[in-house]
Amino acid sequence: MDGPSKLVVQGLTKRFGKVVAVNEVSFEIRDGEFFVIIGPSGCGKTTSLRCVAGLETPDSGSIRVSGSDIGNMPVYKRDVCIVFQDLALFAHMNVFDNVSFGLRMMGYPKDRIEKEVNEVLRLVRLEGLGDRRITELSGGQKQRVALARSLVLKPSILLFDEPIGGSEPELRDRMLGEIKDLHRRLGFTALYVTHDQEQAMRLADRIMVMNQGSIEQIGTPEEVYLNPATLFVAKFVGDINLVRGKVASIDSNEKRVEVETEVGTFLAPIREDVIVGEPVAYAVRPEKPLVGKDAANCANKFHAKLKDRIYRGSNLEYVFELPNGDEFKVLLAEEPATRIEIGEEAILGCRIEDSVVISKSSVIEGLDIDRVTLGE
Amino acid sequence: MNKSDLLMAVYIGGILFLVYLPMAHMIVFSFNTLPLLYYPFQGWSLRWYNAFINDPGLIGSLQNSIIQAGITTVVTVAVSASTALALRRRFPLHDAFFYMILLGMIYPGVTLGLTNLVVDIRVFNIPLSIWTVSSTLSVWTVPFGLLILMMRFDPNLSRYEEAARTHRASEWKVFTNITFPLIRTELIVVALFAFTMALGEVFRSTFVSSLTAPVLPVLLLSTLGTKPPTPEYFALGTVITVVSLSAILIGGAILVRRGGLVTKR
Repeated sequence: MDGPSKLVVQGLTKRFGKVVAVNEVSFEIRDGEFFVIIGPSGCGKTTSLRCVAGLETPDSGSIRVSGSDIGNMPVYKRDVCIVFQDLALFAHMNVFDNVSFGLRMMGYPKDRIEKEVNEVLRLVRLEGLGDRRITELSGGQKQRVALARSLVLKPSILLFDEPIGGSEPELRDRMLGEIKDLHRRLGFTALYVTHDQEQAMRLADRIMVMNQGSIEQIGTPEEVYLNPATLFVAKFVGDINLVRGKVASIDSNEKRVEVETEVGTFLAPIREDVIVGEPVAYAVRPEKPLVGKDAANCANKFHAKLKDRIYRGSNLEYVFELPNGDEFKVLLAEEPATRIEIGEEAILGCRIEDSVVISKSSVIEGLDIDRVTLGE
Repeated sequence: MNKSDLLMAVYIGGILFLVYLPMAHMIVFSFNTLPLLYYPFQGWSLRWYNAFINDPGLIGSLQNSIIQAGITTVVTVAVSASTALALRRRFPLHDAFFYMILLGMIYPGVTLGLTNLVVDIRVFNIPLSIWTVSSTLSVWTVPFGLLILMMRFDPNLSRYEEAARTHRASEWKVFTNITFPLIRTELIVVALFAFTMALGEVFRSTFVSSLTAPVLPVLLLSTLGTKPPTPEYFALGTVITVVSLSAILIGGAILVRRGGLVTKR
């Protein structure tokens, strides 16, 4: 997606007393893009969103929507809407009055309001429920009312503040599907904030990972998942195996890095931020390694002892112990041809293209990655 | 009816008896033909109602009291509502401000009246009137209003206001469409409370009430010292009771129909 920029945030900083909630954050959202900010609680994602909406006043930085600076614009004049975490539906109004609220505030004529509200209610499958009181709705219906209340205004940017965080999994999946579907059909520009990497992966055209007020990485879900910029991103977005070592050599012709570890020497695709002799982590996602005979053709091979086998229904999780004592997880679709018993040694293999070498813990200086509480 | 039901019935009966006996006594003896506040009950008459209606001093002071209580109510509702809404945010000296307002509630009544007298007359040279009574009583009623509002505000009120703001509502429209409708019930409660307090208050009013046009409680207290009471007072009390009760019942009916007060969100 390479449309023109819809939202440009530059050098955004917001402090609460001595705490820097958002620190010099810059990003762009393209027209029609679904942009997700993800990070642990307190990382500054919601504060960033609230600054865009105007509910918080930034200490510095600029926010431009469709080219014009909205930094000093009052909230109600900004062409954005928030679908809130707790939905914040107006309890003293029925469904129709909730959805028509913004249009009424803008002073639209009655018949136009009625037409547009009914259109949106149809879109979110709440036709004929206009007279219902909010208290009479199910959780999913409430979420759709909140969505409709914002959609009806056709804002330049639709902001979502974790609107489907606490729901039950089935309802959550359905709502995510509906949001994605509405996005495809209506083509709105979205800024969605969540701590849940599953939601982010599912919705996002691009993901921005935040940590302690700073950006760790911006990229497509694939880039963030397969080529995490820092250990923080690697650990926050999905599960990952890490083997610590240092860079032995860099082969710029083959575009490869050789990493020396206690377990063995590993090859991974080259990365710009890697320097020979520096400590790095060799990383591989658990669904990538091959086990036993399949591992024979892999460039990176090593021995490990099976510690535990967990049946997960759709796949099997094998927990190995590396020679240096670290754990190494492998997800397999089915049992390997030669069954491995717990306590037995096996050969594991990782392809070069499935491997990543990560040189930084985080963009935050001195962050102890093992002590960061990830997720909620 | 089992034993505990019986006990409950006796208990409730006792409470009602204690609460309503004096009121029933007042109503019955307001119709007595004799100028006696107690037995014997001679016969029914409207003599004392007649006397009170034709007593310009009493009627005038009742009028003064109602206007005074009305002013105090408006001031209390406006000040306590705006203060309670403002106190939801943090600002410098937030807590000091809050406690300073609460001071008006615990400040001794006589001292409050006396100091207001001195300040009104000596410092500002304001003649005593219902306005000086209202300004004095408001210092006392506002903290009650504030506490009632702060306790009963919908915890999500600020979230609703934010939602309205991001959906094209200007600050004024946020207030008229969201804030006010959501705190209306609480404001009615505060208004009833403030009116009742202001109407009946003697001590705080005594010092700041005009001598020529006093408010009712002040007039009653001063006449009680000079001549013995007659059932005229009971007639007055009965009228006030009936009027206030019907006002509360009507107000209550409106609140209940709107689903407020008892069934809270």
